[in-house]
Amino acid sequence: MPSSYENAFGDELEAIYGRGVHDLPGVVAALNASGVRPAGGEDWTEPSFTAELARLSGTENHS
Amino acid sequence: MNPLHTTEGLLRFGLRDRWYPLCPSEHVRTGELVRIDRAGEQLLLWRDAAGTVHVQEDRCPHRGARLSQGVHMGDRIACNYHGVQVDAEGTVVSVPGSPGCALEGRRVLRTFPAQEHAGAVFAWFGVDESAPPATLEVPAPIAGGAWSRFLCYVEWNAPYLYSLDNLLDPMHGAFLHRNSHTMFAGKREAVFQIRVTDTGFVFEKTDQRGVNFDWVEFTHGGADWVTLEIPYPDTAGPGGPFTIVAGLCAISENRHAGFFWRCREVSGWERDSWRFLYRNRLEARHYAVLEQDREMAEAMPADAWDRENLYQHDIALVRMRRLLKAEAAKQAARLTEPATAAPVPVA
Ligand code: FES
Ligand SMILES: [Fe+2]
Repeated sequence: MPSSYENAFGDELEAIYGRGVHDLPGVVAALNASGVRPAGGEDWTEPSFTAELARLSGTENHS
Repeated sequence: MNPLHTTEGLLRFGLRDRWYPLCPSEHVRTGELVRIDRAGEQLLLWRDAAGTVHVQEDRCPHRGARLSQGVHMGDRIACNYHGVQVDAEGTVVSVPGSPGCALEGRRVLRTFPAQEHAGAVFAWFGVDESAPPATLEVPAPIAGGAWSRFLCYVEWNAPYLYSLDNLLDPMHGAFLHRNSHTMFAGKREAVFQIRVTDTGFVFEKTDQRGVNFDWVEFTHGGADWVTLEIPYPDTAGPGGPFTIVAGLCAISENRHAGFFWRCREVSGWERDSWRFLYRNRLEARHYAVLEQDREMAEAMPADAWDRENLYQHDIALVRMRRLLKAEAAKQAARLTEPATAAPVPVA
């Protein structure tokens, strides 16, 4: 089961993408304007955002 | 007569001289003997100590007991009935009840060339089982490289041919899936054309692309593949359109296995974002769309093909069926031709 944080993170991402914002700086800025924060509560940066996505994306393809 | 020697039977269970995806790789766990029916054959799947997967007929060469009820011995299977041991090549390596008997050393268990790719087990079913298989060629989205993918595996209570028809019928997207997250847009009227390729054909709308389910490609060679593309809404984030590579395999006349590799050409953080969203929510939406197809296919009458009135949107089906039927007829003829007799010397 995804956590409520994961669902909220997904909701915000979908909303931001849905406004046509698809570039990394734009997405990070929009996420900071939302209520979703990493576990420590700090603002998102490009490295922290991409690291979080890598963590949440789970295991890679297996061939 | 063996249905696999008739045109009709080959069509219903799947033509020979092809690779078929049988099941997801994870269905065959180390140390286990897996029994499945596919493409008109009763199969045993197992992995040897090295993890290599083997596909053989689930039929003991002694008296026909199910080898799948036997004992996995690492590099061989021992039948549970009288202990006959058969290896991965199909050779009887031991007859414990009658050591030295003529069955020992004989290669008598039907064994099908097997391979794993993109998370699935594939096997080759040849017209001539002693001939080597063709190379397994796979469409680009599951060949590796810049694509990210997830395999969706389903079993439906419908002939595989109905699924194939469904995949080659892009126009149903604008109707059956009109309320979906991906296929709500675009025209409800379309003119299609067929474009022949080196390996099959592309069936495409002439006046709309990238809006709905606007084209599909049938690839026909060592395996049959259907590749199609459906645009994503902005909410799916950056990356290419949603692409599906489909492979089908009959389980019985009225049941089949469907492999839908869901793919996207996307890299870096965009790839991670798609993989996260896919797991968190998109998979459930894609699955709901696939359920609409399943409900339609499973409820089709058994004689659907006999009473159709096809129109322009159905020309890809007609072409695909004609191709399969012609090949099935050729294979049936090869499979039933009498062994050529030695010429009689004229005195
Ligand atoms: S039937 Fe398998 S050993 Fe006899
Ligand atoms: Fe569909």
